[in-house]
Amino acid sequence: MPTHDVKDVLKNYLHEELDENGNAVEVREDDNLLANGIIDSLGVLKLVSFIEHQFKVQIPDEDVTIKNFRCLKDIASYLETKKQQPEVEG
Amino acid sequence: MTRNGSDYDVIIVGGGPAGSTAGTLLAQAGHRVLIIEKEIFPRFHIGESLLPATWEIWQRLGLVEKMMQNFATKPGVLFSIHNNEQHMFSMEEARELLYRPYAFHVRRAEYDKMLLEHARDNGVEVWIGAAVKDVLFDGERAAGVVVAKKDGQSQRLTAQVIIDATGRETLLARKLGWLRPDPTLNKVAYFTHYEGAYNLTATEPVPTYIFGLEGAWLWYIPMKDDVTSVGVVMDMNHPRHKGRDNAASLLSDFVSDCPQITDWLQGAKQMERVRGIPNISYINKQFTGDGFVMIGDAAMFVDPIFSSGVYLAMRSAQIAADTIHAAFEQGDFSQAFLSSYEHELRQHQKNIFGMIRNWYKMLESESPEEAVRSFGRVARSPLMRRNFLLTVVAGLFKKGDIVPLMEE
Repeated sequence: MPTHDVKDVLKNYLHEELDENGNAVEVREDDNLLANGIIDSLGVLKLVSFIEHQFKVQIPDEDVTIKNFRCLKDIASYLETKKQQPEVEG
Repeated sequence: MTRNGSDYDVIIVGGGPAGSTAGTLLAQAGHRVLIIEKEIFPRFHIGESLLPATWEIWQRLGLVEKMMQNFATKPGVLFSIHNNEQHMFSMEEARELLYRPYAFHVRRAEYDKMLLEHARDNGVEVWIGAAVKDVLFDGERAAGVVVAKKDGQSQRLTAQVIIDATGRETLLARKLGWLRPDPTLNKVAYFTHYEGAYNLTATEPVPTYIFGLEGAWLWYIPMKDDVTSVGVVMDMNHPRHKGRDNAASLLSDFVSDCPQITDWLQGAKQMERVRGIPNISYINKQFTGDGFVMIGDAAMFVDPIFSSGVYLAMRSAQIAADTIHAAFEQGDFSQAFLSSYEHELRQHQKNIFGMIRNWYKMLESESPEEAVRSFGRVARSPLMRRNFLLTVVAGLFKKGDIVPLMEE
């Protein structure tokens, strides 16, 4: 899946999440997700599960870093690098 | 009589942490303040685990030394989900970002009394055992209060600003119909204190313990002098809660689901009757009006999972006191002016409600295994761990507060 699609899928996901909490905000691809209350630590948890399910990838806990999950653009490029590494099962 | 012809500059109804904090800060700023408290202190109150974000306020109040002398040090919070793996979140991990990398466990009878006495020492007039029967309005504007004193006499007093710090009594919100329960957090809490339970506070810093169970969670808070607070929070619709009104057996049923607490309470003596608080969370429609402000639990009450109650009470009091001081400088006590307090407080409050909802979503995952796995991920991932530590455990709830810290 091209990175712009990844970002769109995540944008839609976040928009729905925010609606549920009653404070919908349009998320741009370089918005800091931790700033301005867009997402909290337990919100990151849900986002990570969503990504794993949606894009059929496994994200090791140690990869959930500020660098990789700062904004949608960073998440997309992280997933891009994951795709280039062969998935090791087990 | 004050310069402006009213009996006081500010009358504060209620002398808990919110009322006392607002009183001290306003008196320090030179205002003539009266606190009216209906109870005789010390009195029992729940909410014993404090947050490191409160240091800034203890500093302004001049209470840093007293806090360190009088109370048990809380180094962090230990979470365990479904009696599985225990995850300790220690403030030491964020030492470089905090004024002090710990907070305190306090018996509220003692802590609240200290804060109220401190207000008096700072020049606040304090009446105890006197109940405010009503707030008087001049049109839309709050103008004074009617007080029933110990001797049965009733008295009318006027002030430029009335602060409602009545706690869950929510005097003004009830009068004005502003109370808004939060239906998504329809919980009930049962709790008491024990003597002789597992409690190492005399020899070492002890964390707050949180045990997440099926549809409920328990707290275990060891305090000084061998007193330990234990409580459970569950959904109002929890099968165990439906149709039951025996608070003591409800609490003990949940304790027996938690081998760790059961073990820690062996041979302990219950010191207080088990009390309950239903319909825990609410937020008032507004926190301000012409000539009045609501602070602490009189403005909103947040689910206790992240121990935010006392911090939000004192933070709201500090913001309200600063706003009211500015109102005196401007000579403007209108809702329009005072609402900047509300705007600022909501920056602190918004995120905490989101985090609490996410906590319950995690606890109520499809299966207990899923909940255990989820919290394990929070504890192990660098981003989530740091974020959880700074927001939930340290109390940096305000939008944007945490981001610059995380990026250092």
